[in-house]
Amino acid sequence: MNCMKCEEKAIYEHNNLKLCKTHFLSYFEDKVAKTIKKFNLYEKGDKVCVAASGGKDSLAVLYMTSKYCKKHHIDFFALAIDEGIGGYRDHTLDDLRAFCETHGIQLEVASFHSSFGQTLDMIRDDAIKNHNKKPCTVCGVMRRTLLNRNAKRLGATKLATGHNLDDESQSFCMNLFKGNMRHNASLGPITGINQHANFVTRVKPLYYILEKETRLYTFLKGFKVEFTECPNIDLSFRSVIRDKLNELESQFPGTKNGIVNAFMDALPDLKEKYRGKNDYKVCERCSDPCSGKICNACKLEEQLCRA
Amino acid sequence: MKHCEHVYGTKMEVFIEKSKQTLQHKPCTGAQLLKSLDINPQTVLLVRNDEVVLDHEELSEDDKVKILSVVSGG
Ligand code: SF4
Ligand SMILES: [Zn+2]
Ligand SMILES: [Zn+2]
Repeated sequence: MNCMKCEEKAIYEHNNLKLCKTHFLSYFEDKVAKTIKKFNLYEKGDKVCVAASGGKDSLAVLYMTSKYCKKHHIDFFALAIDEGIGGYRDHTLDDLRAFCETHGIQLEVASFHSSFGQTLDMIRDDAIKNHNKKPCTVCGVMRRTLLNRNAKRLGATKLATGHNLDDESQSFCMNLFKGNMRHNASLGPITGINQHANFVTRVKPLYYILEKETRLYTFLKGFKVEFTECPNIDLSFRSVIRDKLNELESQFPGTKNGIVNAFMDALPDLKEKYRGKNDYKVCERCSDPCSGKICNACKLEEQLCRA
Repeated sequence: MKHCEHVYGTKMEVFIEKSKQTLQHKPCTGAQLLKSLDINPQTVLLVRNDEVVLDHEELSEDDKVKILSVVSGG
């Protein structure tokens, strides 16, 4: 089967697309650049911080950001969070360091240990046994906080993540099935309902890219991405949704796009509806925006890191 | 995971990245291979002798096939 744009052999087929290597690479890069432009994810004068872990999504978003920002003279750098997960994060961080070196990208690393005095490995059992908290909950809250704090400290105006079309369609369905439209209102290529001066705006350049397309892109570009899995991984609900969506996508190609397109159609109204309804205060300890007196990260730090 | 069909004689080598398993399978198309291993094509890339191939392509006995996982963990 040949590429729809030239005589070369197609290596990618999805929905109505049939593309050879060259045309797949330009399809991918154009799509990301268009997403950045259409939603003004990166603008002149921005300093972009890319949240990077060393996984394929983060390498792809980092590489595309570097390409786009160099072309448009926008400042950018990579920021990694080392949670302290032995046998996992150390490996992905090694890959990330090598990648940044090869591509001449500035890399900053912040760690749970230097920020909270403990690694995730050290507080994991206590969190489960004594506080009934899953490692992923603790990890997610603390990582998000460190990304925001360090992005802010380093003068970033945007925080880019590797979230893709699969992630977004899964999150939308998960919130929908839980009846939580407020959470859906904070999805989208630019995260959040209300912008807050203490929150670095989060953006998703891979918003319209399928996970499979990212893997193919990194493969074709020769980026080193090995399949590694965090030992704490708990995907219970998400993995069910992920499998169902993949089944639907196989049966009815275009399903994930359909979900996200329909969602994007309703998003302005959703954001409007929930805007201002959860006015942020700032955390008394760290001045991050939060809904109560003390933010979730500071609460967790007190519970788990000050024994 | 279902077991692959063992046919004596011609077989090709298949490496599955996610489970880090290597197995022998009789030559067939990519789609048939994934079906017999109960793998959803959305979740993997099919690689033959280090080149990505589409699911409908024929894989033959001398091919080294890799099934790369699309999802990342954590
Ligand atoms: S799987 Fe859970 S513990 Fe592991 S990195 Fe992801 S959020 Fe953290
Ligand atoms: Zn082509
Ligand atoms: Zn706080």
